[in-house]
Amino acid sequence: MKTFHKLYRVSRIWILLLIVLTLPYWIPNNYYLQVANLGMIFSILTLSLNILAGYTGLFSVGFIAFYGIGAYTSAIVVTRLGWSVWVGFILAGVVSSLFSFLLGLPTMRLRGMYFAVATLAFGEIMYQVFLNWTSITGGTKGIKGVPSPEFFGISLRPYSKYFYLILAVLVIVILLTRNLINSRTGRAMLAIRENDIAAEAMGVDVPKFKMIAFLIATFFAGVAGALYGHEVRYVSPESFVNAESAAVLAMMVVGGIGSIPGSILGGFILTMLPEYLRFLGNIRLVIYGAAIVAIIIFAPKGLGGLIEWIDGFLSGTLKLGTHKKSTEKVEGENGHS
Amino acid sequence: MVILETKGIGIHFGGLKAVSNVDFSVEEGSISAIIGPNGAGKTTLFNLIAGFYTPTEGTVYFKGKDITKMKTFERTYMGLARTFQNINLFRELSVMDNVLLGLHTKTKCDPISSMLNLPNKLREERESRKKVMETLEFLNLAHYVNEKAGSLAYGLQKNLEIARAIVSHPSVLLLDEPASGLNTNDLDTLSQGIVAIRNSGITVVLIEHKMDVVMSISDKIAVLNFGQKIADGNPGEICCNPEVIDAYLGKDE
Repeated sequence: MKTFHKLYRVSRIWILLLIVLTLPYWIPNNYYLQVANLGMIFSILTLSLNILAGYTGLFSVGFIAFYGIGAYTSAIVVTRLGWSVWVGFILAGVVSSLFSFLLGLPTMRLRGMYFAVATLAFGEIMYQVFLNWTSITGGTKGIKGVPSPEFFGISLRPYSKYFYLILAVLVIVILLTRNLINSRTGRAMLAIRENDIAAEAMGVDVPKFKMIAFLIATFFAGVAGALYGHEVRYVSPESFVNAESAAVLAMMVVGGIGSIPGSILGGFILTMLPEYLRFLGNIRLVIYGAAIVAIIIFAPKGLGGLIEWIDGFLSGTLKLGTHKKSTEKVEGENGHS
Repeated sequence: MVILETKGIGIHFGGLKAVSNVDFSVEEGSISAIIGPNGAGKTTLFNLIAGFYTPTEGTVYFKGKDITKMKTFERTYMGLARTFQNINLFRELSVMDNVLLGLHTKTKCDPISSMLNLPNKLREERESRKKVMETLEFLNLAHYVNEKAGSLAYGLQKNLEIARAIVSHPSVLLLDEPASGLNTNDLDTLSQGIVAIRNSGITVVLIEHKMDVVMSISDKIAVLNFGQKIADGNPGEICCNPEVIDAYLGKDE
């Protein structure tokens, strides 16, 4: 058993890498490949929402607006101004952050539900802007012919190639998020989520660090939006309705609040699931909903918690009985107070 | 030299005068205590000093500067640290992360270098973690470094809050009822700990009900009752002051 654990610990990263890198070959159907790409884009989006809601405790209900701003920004500068797609990706993040800065100025002092409602309103406003500012956004017709990027002369238009671009961005966002959490800034964000009074006593300028979290999260969301626009090569308002924001929230909760692997799985699986259930006809949405409820009930720490448990089991680091011990301590503590 | 001072400080919540016209001063390098019956306004006075409440009257001076209008986090940056009566830890975070947060004012790495793991961030993290371990060892918490703060026993949580407050080596430490809920054995350790903290160069102000702790370690004691200061002086003066005895034991009619 010990040798198995050791073997697993050494090989897990390589197995994961092998599976992920060869994924386009496992999915022969072009349609499902496109869905897988979309799933990874939603992984990025869910991870960015997690920076805001999971780590900083700021529940944003209109988060899809920033994804939309990113998609439109890149589509507009590339199709209207003829700029490089790569510039479009960066600008998508920058413009999205710019909007969050403007929204953040009056709302960073709001707490809990008030911030959530403010972002809900912002999501609705942005949808109306996408829909009605026809001269810029093309209104209901949207923007057609958004080009695919080229990488040193190689067109990334085939989904099997675009896959690797999304994968690269996803890996970068994962690494940046992980580094952020293990830093002074990341800890200030976690402190605000846990206890903003104590955070302030530690010297944390609470509105400032909420704003930093907001800017970083919306930058990544904007880039994810641009990735989406250049994947489907068409941007229109119905991709950015508030129901999509709810879907991203569900992805975050199902994946596991404050969990990086959870965000990736939540975004990916909840995008894939409705497509793979398509053979069930109209009942698929009921099953989709039931699956979400089941995960929340049976895995309260989400898919991320589940994966960590399996990983701990396979690598032999899982301490059985730790759960029981911690509940005992909680009871002892109640006895004191 | 006086390091912390309030002049005529007061706050009214509606018609209730929680604290009114209190002059209170703390000598640098001393241990001062604020005592008084429940509801006398001791914690409110702490909140006024730390900036959690804005006073309706009076001024607060810290290191010779008027800080009355300063925000809480700015006062922390100036070197004013505190613990809370009802423990305000980051319960879901590890002991290490809790104390690292105590170093927030002493670190300055920006978000971009943090995300990119630039050398300045890695160096700062390494130094911070080393400093945290030293503080945890000083307070006998090193063993629990990776535990979740919320899963620690009550007494350890109180210690952790002190560790988080002193890791940055503040100029003044405000301790709100550090002895509450501790047993007699722990009380001696606590008293020694507070003296050791003072000896390391941190001025200590504490609110405390346990009289043996207050009397044995304090250089100066201020007594509050119904939001007003009724006496101050060294332990010898306070324990025999008739007004103080009245406030605590009731007047002999």
